[in-house]
Amino acid sequence: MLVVGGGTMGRGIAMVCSLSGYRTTVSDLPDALPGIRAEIEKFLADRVKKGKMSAAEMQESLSSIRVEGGLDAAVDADWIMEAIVENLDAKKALLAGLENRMKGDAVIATNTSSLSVTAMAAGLRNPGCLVGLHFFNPATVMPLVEIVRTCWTDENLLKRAFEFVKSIRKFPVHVKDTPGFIVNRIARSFAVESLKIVTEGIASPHQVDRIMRLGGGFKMGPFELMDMVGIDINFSVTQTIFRAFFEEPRFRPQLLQQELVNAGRLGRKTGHGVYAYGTGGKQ
Amino acid sequence: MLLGGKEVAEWAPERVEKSGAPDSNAGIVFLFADAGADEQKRWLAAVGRGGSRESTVALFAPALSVSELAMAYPWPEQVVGFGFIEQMLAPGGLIEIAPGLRTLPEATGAVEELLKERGFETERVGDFSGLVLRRVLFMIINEAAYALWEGIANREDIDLAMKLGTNYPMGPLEWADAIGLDRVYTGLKSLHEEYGDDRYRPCPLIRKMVAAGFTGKRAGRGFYTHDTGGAHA
Repeated sequence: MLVVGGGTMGRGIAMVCSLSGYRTTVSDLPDALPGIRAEIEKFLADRVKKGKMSAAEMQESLSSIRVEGGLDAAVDADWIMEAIVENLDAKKALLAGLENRMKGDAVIATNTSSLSVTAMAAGLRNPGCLVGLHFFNPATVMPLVEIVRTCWTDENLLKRAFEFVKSIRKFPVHVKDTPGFIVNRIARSFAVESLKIVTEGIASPHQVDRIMRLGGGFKMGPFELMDMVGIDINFSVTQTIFRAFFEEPRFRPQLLQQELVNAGRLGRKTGHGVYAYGTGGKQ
Repeated sequence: MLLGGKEVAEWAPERVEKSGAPDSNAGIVFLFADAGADEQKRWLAAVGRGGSRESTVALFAPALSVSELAMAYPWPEQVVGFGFIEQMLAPGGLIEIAPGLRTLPEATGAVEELLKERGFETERVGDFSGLVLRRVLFMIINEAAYALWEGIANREDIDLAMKLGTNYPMGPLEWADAIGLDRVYTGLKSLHEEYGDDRYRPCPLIRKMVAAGFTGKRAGRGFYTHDTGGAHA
């Protein structure tokens, strides 16, 4: 198992694979390697602290993960996960390099959430070797993986992907390569329609959150969720999907999102989004 | 009259009809005509024939603005909108209340007070089709129907993805079956009409299924096939 890109998603996916018994290599640029190692150790130490694993298991897990530069590990990997920056040109360049190194029957999976898997696969000698495996953040916690197929993906690869996802103890669903796949597409309404309701003065964010939680059974209200995910991230996903669907009005973003982003109120991470956050949480 | 649990379902339009007119001593008539605007106007007029200036009507799931629908009642200042999703309303759950432009504060207050007495939480929201919860939920269901219609995934995977990927309490398609596709369709059509915005156009698949009578759990068939609990095994 090779994971290329040791950011939040790449590290999370590597941890999931390693904890399910896969010998895993995380590859990134040389400067990033010490930080990735430290984060992985921190994550495992945290699990030991919470009693989810023993110190011996931690050592075992640590020894099953290698963190290194370059793509040498591609030569004998059965699965290669691509989790680098969301940029089509960067991803295409990486995929071409991987295809030159990997075994004939290896599979490359991309964790892209906003790019077309089809556009990434086009140009490969064998575009059928690429499949989307869309994990959710944090990958170590969220149980879902969307298996994204293109026009080149054959049944055999879909079966392998399905078995692989189950082997890392996640729940797979199948989806055609279309903007937002299943979750990011359908979940647009939860956020954007709520923003529209607030813009129209029908209810305040606080009211909408209470209504969705206490009346609808949602675990979090849309504005609490937006603050957690990041207003900027939500806005960017909304814009991407809106454009990708040729400006379909169902996906139209709301000015209020843009205004919050312009104001630097990006959510919990900046201490202020829809709500203000003090040291004691939401205020 | 009671609200909550079984009584909610029992207080259906048929019951208003059977009892001729609601008891005006009740003070508040809860009108559960979860239907299109025309039908809701007919029911408001019918309730009005036996009502009095003092009796408040709480109209469930207003299909248009309460302000507009209330004009079908002889005393529009007595009409208050309210809404919830039957399947999600637990004891102590939240009910939305929406006064129209003409609604008297006393009427809104009385409905609010009664619901609070029954142990429900309330929020007063703006007077608009679908209020908050139904509107957002119907939009989620509509998008799920489009995704299914366009063949991007099957129904089970769509529902599973939304439950596991974003923690939804139910999958949107099973939710639609529980609520009734006819109600979802009516709600979306009202929003579409009220806004004149294509954002709200109902998915043609929902229209087709409603036309065919595949309205969900009560019909035995919607996005899923349901055992209607009848004699057949």
